[in-house]
Amino acid sequence: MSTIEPHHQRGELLRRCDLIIWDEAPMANRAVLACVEECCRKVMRNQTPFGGKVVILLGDFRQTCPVIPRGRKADILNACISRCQFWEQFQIARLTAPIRNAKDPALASFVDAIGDGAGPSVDLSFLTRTTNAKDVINFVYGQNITNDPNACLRRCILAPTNTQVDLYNAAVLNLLTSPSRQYHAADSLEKHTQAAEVANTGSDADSPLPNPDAVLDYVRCRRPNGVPDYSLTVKVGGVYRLLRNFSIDQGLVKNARVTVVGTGSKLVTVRLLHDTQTPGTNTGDILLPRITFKERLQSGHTLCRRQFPLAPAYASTFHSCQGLTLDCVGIDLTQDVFTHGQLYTALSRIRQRSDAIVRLPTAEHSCTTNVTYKELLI
Amino acid sequence: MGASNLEENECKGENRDTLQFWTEFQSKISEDFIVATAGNSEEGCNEALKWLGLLLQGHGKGLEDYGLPEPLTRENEAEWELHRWLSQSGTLRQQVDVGVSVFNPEQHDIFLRVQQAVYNNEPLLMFIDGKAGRCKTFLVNTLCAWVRAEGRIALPTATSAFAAQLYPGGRTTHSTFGVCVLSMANSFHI
Repeated sequence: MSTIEPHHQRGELLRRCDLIIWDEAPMANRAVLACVEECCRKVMRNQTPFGGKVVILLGDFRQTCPVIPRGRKADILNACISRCQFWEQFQIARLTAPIRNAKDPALASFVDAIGDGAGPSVDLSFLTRTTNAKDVINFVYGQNITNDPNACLRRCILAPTNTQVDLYNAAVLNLLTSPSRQYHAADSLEKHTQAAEVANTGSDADSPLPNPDAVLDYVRCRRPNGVPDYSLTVKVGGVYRLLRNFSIDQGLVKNARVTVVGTGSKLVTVRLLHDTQTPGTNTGDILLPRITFKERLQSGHTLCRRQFPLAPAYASTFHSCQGLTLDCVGIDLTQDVFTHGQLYTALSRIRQRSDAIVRLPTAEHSCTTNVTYKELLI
Repeated sequence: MGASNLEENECKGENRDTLQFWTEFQSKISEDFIVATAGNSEEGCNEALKWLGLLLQGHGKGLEDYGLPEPLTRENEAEWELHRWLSQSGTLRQQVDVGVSVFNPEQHDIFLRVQQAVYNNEPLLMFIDGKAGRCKTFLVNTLCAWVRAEGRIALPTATSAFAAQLYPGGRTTHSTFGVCVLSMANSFHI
């Protein structure tokens, strides 16, 4: 579990600290909470829960919760921090006064109702609706807005699945006329695990591992989650998000928005995009090298992909839009949401109804499905 | 800037004379850090080495792979954390005063409960439930500013680094508590 021992420097830091804050706690697996609890007890050298520390968790159980690959509802509920044995010892404090949505109280109460489990079918007729992707792209990125990376920072197209997001990103990136460069990744499969797997399954002739070459071919056209594209198009002036944490102090973190300034053969030069409302220090130009991403595939292989840690950021999934405040949103609901809190997370990004356009499968429909696991709400 | 230079060298695999390169250019490479440590070149170079070490760690390597000297760890983390906010206690106190004056009753109540627990060294476990846009960040920043102005240590953490960067001195929960992500890699993906 926790790698920190009481005699470590970090152990002393934790022992002497008076206040522990944990934001976005419901996004974490309950195993993490158990690990933090154990770590606190260990460094404090006593057996009170959390070592008797002041621990403040924050978050919103209405939003999307831990992702369990191919998990069912029961798996997701089981991974939630409110299923942790220490949960009952937490006092619950509520912040209820609306602040961000104050401009449009009707929208605020509508979104709140979705968060609290409205549906299963909810009527979106008071929002602008469309049936094709072009309208969505025009609404969010029309009028040459793509030429100004800073203006794109508060705009986003949201969709439930990565496949849809990739299509939108490619379409918006196509609107840019600036010079572009194509970077191909170096892919390989991790050697030793492959050998181990073969040894394990050697006796079991019914389930041989797929041919490694076939696997590599497959991941070239079908990107596994959590790694960059095999063939990455980088356009100068394009808006991208980082796929790795580099420095929290400088704001170079996973999902941070950057714009590309230069495309070299070994390095890509990017500049961090700042939200004008949150003053930050200007970090200047940052050089990004290629980085090896490792991802365990469904086939049992571990893919090592060496590629720039970048992905276009014009569209995003409902899961990774958490924490963004947006002025202009296109929400693709041609496929229904499939897990807890997705619709709420997407709709709660905006402040007034004119900020959003919704894409629905047919013009006759104005309804969509909402999925809320009421067991999660507190 | 120099560090990216060194990185470029690493990319090319020219690591044979990294040590020579470092001894020759260490003052140039560490310039940013020397400025940050008020002109102390020795401390600045040490900071630069630490930073390089972290950078290399991200690539699965270490300073020793390049024959570079290990940085000295003179100060400990707790002292450093205290030292970091000491010089700002005036502005922090101001931030608390401004924050408390604009709190709504809900925020004020939470603030007082936490304040009391920290003062009396009492255990307190609390979950703050707030929908998007309820100024949770503002409340947390005011709380941390108060704790730090008191000369105590506050550790703001978040599940994702994206959320952690909203807090001054924020870190991810995983790195703060040494949570082993690998052991949970199968059940934990964000």
